[in-house]
Amino acid sequence: MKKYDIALVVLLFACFVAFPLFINSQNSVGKVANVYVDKELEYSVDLSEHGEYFVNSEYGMNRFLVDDSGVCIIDTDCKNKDCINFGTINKTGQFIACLPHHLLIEIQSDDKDYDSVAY
Amino acid sequence: MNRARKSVYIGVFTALALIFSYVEYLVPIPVPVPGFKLGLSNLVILVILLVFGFYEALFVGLIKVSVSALLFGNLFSFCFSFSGFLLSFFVMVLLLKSGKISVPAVSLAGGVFHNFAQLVVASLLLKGAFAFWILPVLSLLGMGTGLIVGFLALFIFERIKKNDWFSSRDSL
Repeated sequence: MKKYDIALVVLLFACFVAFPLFINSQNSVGKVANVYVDKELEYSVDLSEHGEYFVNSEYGMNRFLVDDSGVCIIDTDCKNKDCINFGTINKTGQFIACLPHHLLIEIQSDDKDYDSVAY
Repeated sequence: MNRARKSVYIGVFTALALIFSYVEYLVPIPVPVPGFKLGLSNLVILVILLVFGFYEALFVGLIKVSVSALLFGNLFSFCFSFSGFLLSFFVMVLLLKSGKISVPAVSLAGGVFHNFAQLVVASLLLKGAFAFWILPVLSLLGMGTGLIVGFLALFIFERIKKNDWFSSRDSL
């Protein structure tokens, strides 16, 4: 019993924790934050352009901040505030999602083709 | 166990699973990860799987997922909990059937796959990109909660067996 349990836990850890962590470590700090609503690109924000930005859509409002550390959502009028819990992102492939507002903010490098590595 | 008695137990367990969902809905855990839950209702489903069997647990699980989405959720939360339940349930059934894995480890795998399915669904709903960067955190959390739920389920199952609660004699 014990032997198989440990093997299972190690296997799961390797597949679901270690491997994704390794993939993530390959990602570099991105340059552009793309904001999507309903899978449509609303706008791209350069990460060097610090400041506060708003996304207003038919679903609701999100306010996000761009600074040295990256992008984070600081205010929203949705109920669960999950998007604020995502914290700050700055690496390619990272994203913040707000499901009630159909919103996705994703970090990309300059070169859009290269970014498919992050999948 | 006769049919009427069994229906009553299944009904009571379904209600218990729903109460657990409600408690989790009322008291969100302050963890900085979106949509994180303990999976207390998984405890009920796991115990039913051990005490009754595959079909009973599947039935209770599907009822729990549908009704809790109707009562406290929305379409999104239904997609999440439905996908998470289905994948983790079948993984747990397969691991239990193998007979080589103990209950806490089975539940741990269930927790990991529950979060994995939810993450895949979230990625599909949003843009089609697969979210590698949040997967390690979610998987570790799933391991932790799955392990806790697994130990609890094993404890409850052994109590039930020892006290013979669900035998045909008129106890309880």
